[in-house]
Amino acid sequence: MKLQTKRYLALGALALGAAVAGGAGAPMPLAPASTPLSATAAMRDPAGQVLGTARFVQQGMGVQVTVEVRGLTPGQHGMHVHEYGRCTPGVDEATNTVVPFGGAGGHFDPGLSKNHDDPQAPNKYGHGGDAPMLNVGADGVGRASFTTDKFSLTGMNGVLNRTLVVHARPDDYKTDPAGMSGARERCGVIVRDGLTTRDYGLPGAQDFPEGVAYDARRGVIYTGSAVNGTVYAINAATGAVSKFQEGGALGRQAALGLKVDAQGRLWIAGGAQGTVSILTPDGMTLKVLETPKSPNPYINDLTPAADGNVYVTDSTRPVIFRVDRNLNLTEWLDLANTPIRYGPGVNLNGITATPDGRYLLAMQLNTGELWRIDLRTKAVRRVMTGLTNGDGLLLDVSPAGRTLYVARNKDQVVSKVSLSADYGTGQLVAEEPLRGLRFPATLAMVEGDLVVTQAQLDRSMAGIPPETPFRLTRFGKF
Amino acid sequence: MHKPMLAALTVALGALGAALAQGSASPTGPGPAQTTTPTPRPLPAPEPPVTVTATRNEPRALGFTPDKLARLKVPAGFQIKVMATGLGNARMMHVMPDGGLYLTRRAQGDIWYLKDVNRDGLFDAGERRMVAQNLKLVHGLDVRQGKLYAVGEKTIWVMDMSRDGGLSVPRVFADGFPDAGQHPARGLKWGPDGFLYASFGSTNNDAPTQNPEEATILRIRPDGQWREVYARGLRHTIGFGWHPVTGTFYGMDQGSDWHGDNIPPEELNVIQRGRNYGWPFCYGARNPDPYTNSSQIPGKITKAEFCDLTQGSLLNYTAHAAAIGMNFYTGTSFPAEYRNDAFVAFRGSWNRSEPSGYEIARVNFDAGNRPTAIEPFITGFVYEEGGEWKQFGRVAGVATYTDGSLLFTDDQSGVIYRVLYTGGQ
Repeated sequence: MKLQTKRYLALGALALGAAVAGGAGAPMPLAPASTPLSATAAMRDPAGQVLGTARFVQQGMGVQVTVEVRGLTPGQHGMHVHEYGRCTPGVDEATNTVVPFGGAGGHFDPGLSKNHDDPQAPNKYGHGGDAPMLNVGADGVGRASFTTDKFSLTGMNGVLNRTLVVHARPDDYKTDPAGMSGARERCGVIVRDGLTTRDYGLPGAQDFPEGVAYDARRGVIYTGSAVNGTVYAINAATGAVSKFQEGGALGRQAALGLKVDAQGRLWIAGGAQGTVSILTPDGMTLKVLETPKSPNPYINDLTPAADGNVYVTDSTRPVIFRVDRNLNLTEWLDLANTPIRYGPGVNLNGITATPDGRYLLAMQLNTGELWRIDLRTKAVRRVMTGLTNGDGLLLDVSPAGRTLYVARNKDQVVSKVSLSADYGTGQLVAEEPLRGLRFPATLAMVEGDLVVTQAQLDRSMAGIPPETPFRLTRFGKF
Repeated sequence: MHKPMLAALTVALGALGAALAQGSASPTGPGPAQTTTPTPRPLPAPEPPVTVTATRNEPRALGFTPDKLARLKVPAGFQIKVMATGLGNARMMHVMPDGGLYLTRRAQGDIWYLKDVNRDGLFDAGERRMVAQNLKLVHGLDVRQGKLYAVGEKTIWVMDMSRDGGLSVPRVFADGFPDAGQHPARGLKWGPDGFLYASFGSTNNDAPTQNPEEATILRIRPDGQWREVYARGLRHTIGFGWHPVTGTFYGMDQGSDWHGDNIPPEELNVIQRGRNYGWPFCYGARNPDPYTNSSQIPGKITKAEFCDLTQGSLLNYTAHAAAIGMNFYTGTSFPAEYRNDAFVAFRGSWNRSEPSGYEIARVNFDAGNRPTAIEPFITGFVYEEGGEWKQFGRVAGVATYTDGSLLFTDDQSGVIYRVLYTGGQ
């Protein structure tokens, strides 16, 4: 559908900034990645033969794209960034048959526009992946070079580990879902240059891994399904995955934030069940703690602190719960008496404790505020703002300083924040999209590296299929 | 001073962990033999239409009369007797070392204590008494440390036992289990690991259920407080137990109805922690069931992909035979080849053109204690006569009596049968 022109008129000058920026929300503050952002896609035909290349170089909020593809019929060919990072056969929805490159999914649509449009339309009104057509000469070679801010190599519109697809026919820039551009003839996965990471794959179709924790004594990474509560144990060295506990029992039907305590027990934030579960080191439920009955609980994350207690965030109820050494859960801090203001959406989310035993740090996802809570006085101080969609936290304290890593789910990056000595102020230092992250939710430290979950919960919420295998990604500190 | 707990969690354990990582075994052992990566699809995977011919055939039910005993076939050297009749909905049994026997009656919701005090081989009227009541759909039962545990629709009860067989007023041990629906026969046994195991069948025939505790075996803490899903995808595994020698956990599962005479077969499964046994989409050796609604597969993956994530059965038996109780034979009066084999009560089909079940079967274990075959042991309860199928017994519970004879119940006429080996005499 062509909606863009009318919307422009209706919006007039009022929304010009947002329209030009192309993003779904306010422009996110830009911090550099650990290395300059560029990417390459080897463009293949359905037989797998490489017949061209696409190059992507980050420029400000957008990206410079250069494409050269051989062996196509002369004329114009629709070209788009597609949702999934795979050039495999997959399902064409119109016919529910498997077609070449169907595994790349539909057009990348970060603005949830559900609308195919021209390459200048803001992402709110058209697919972010709608690129200009590729013009193929008489020699069968198509070349394109363009700059766009509809997509990027980082942030909400990030296209790393997605695909660039060239179609058989021209794009009319309006007809849903793909501008009548026909079959998919070339496909390339957009791969970050010069950065290596390691993926831990999960076996299931509904794993949606949200939480992650590491038991260093066993060398085991735990992760859990936000959808069915199943907890996996991953051998950090070999990547071998086993089920630590099947989900689904009373109070164990979802798993969000995870932590391992000093006794090797696994703590599980139970999300909308309003529960906190504790599993023994052999994976049996030790106890399920229930928070007060409520129509809308959302136990999101938890952290052990040096005082021997475990502190628990609830994203909808303005309270921090505490579980003491005897596993009694009580309401520890009523946030109504603090500067933390709960609004619509997900509020307090990731939580961690400082190793000096003095503070909790907690992330408010919907406002992007990072809070410091004094464990003795319960005084609350805002450390910083600007961390919108901040989810899980990982605090790395070394002689060199205090570094906080923040998984920012919808922004598809891990942010690095430098904290002051008293954890009272922070500064955004860097933002890493790695090799493409799909809703990075939480972080754990594994043998000096970081591991982040790619939860894909946005896909679950939007009703589009997740990309499998679900994975956790291990990467070096940056 | 602050205890270094958090530091240990986040930073300091790195070196220690590296040293131990090599030797750490995976906590639950290897997973199923997965060969594919399931790929969630935007739409359910198409499957060709299939037609099924299903037959409802409930043999004419006949009450037990002593003259019908002659119809029962037992292996050479064995003899069958009746210890009691008129017991109502006699389902599961637990035999005490002194010969006392606890019997659950699901339809009546009570537990009886039977003891052959005068040793005449009969549970006479004076040797029977009700010891617990008002237990809705009470079925599986087991004893541990002087207490009797029994499971009903959504509750596990515990009762103190007295020496004369009496029971205290039942207390709720664990609660909040799923609705029973179509499959209200719950199984219960204490495991060798000190945890209580209970099976909860599906509320329905052949579609995914809303409550994830349905169609499972749950493992329950010894205090009854919390539990885990031990295994799932088990439509109705009533009879289960651990092999007396190997400790391997076996269960008999009932396959779906209305999918024809031979699909799906009844299954003997090795129950392993964390596994999915395939119901409702897969049966036997991880075969996709062509008659289940594939659009309901979680994640809209193909049926083949779903089955690839599941665990296949070890042995199969005639479809719809409907296993109820299962009991390992640990007595000594049967020939040695029977020792540590399992006996299974197949209550009998109602949706198969030629009835199956209505028999006690033997799961034959070889010298290495591996099950090799499920074969009929006591048959003859069902027969065709004058063009009509008839039956006079719906067998349910199985137990080993103190003298090594085998007991089993018929829940239709309230009979307890006793099978003795007399071949040596």
